[in-house]
Amino acid sequence: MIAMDKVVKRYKDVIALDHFSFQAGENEIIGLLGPNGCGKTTAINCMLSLLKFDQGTIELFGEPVNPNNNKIKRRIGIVPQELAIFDKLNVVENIDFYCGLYVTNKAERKQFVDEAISFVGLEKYKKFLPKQLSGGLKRRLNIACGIAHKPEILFLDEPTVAVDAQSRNFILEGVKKMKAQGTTVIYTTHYLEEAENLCDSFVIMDNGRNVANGTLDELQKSISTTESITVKFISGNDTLSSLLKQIPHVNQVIKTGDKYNIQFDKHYNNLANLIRFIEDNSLTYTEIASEQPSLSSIFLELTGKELRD
Amino acid sequence: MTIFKIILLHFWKFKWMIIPLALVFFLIAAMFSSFGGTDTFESEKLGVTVVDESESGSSKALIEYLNSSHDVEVLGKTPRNHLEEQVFLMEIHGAVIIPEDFERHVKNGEPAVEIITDERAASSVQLDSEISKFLIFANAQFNEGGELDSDKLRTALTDTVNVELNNDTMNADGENFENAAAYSNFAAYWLMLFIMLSVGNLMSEYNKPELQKRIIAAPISSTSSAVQILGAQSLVGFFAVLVMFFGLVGLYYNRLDGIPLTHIFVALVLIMAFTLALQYAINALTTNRFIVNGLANLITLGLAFLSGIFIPIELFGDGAERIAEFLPLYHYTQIYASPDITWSESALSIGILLLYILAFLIIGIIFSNQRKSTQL
Repeated sequence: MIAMDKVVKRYKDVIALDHFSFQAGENEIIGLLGPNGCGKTTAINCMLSLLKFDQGTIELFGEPVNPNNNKIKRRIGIVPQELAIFDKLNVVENIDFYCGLYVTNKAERKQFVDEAISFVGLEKYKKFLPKQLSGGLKRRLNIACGIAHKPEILFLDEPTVAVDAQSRNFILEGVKKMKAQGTTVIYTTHYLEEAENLCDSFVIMDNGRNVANGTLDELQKSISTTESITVKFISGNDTLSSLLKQIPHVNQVIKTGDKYNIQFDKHYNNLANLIRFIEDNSLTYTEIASEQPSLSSIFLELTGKELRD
Repeated sequence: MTIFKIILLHFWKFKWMIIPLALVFFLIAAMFSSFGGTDTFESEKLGVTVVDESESGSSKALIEYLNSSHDVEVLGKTPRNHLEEQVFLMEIHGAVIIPEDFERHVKNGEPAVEIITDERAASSVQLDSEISKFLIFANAQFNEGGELDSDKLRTALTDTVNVELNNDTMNADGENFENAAAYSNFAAYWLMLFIMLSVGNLMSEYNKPELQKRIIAAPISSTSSAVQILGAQSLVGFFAVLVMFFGLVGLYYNRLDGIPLTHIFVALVLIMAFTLALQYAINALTTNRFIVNGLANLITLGLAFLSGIFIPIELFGDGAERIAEFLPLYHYTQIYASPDITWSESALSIGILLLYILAFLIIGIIFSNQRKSTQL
């Protein structure tokens, strides 16, 4: 559905996209992640034909993108990070305007606008001006303006910035509903936990490059970040730490009180190996917990921990 | 037509700014229209002090003449500052100093007396004109022997003739034209202010980068978008022109003779188009509403003053008049410069306004392309 192949975009001497490639299939939520200035917005702008790129190819629905290809544009929706709504128009007028850019049939448009309003839960605020809406409601209006024409691909650029937990949950549930209705969503965010819970797969960008992509499981397997298992033994002794180190792939054992934190090199059925070791040595325990590397730790390992501009 | 409709809808949202602005304009225009009429002048009995240093027959004749209609006090040599103080304290309306060689000056037609008055007062003009009248008549009444013929002078000064003023069509037409021209001048200021404020504010919102991103990403060509925006703005501008034009016709419906209506209509259409082009260039430069509103007031007021819309440009001197010739609003006024102006006489001003429109459109297109290439 989306295929970017070795796309290069330069701003004078700065390379915003450096042979960036990625693909997305139908009916997926793809998290486009990366630190500030990594090229996410540039990549989206290139896909939307808002920017010309210097090299490479971008295809949407199997056709190359082009500012005059209205056939492709008609099937795309965009929800920018900034509120892109008219201050002087009320909720219905705002949604109707943006929907009208895609849908010319008046009756069909009215139906689409009504559906978008109920989708984002703004039925009670139809005649409200944006200045009369709370921050969360404005975000929902911003989303409604981008989805009213029922796009097949939707670009959502940090839609949950500066909204409360309830509104955030409402928005995320809405994105899942859109996926259920068959929309492919390209989702950018800096909230990695949110992305981890929402997205089917991820593209991690840094310095204009695709540094990793795949599902969370695939990303976890691709990095060296250790799996960490914590065990609270009843029958612990001084030699236990050195015994635990004999388990395959154990990297480090840290004893804190009566708890042992065992860190493994990679993800190789470590929990099963540990339990087998406990049984073989007739050890007894009261707690055991395994922590897989989170998206956040994967992200930090791939993009580094140093501060960015 | 989505963009066309949304621009019109935006104008409608500005109705509470537009309607009072239009009402204030018509209220002022109607007031000026009803105030138009004849001016009346009345002579007043003045208190005048005369210092007669000449004590000649001519000076006595002048004193006698002034005494016939004013309260005159004749003094001998008196310090000038004393007379000035009397005028300043409004004890007298004016003082006349008749010098020793008064008669010779009158004979030669030279400035013959010194008049001290408060020039801000109407009495100053009255005293000046009465003494001028005396001096002109006196100059004509010296006989061959060089003596002033007092009888003839008295007769000349007091003689009256009946003058019958013809209330002819030429005068009425001239007055109609003057009123309509003043209305049209002010209408241009109003049109410019209205278009610059409403279009300026509307487009500063429409051109916001985040909104533009969404609009450009939509399946609508930039040409279609531009045509729809221009079409909607022109429609509203033309509607405003019609309101101004038919406002003129309505206010002067029984006094339309001598008013070059078609010239005024063309001038209004051109100034509307010029303002739209100017505003297009401004909106291509900035989306900041404070700057847009500031420029709207600055440009309209500046152009109106410099082009003689509010105050006749002749009062500012030749320099200002030369500057005005470079301004579009001046050429707007020249399209209907006289009641019987022909199209060939207006052609130059129409051409200059068209060039201004073209120039600002080109500037706007250049800046607009620059902005689009940098904002994304």
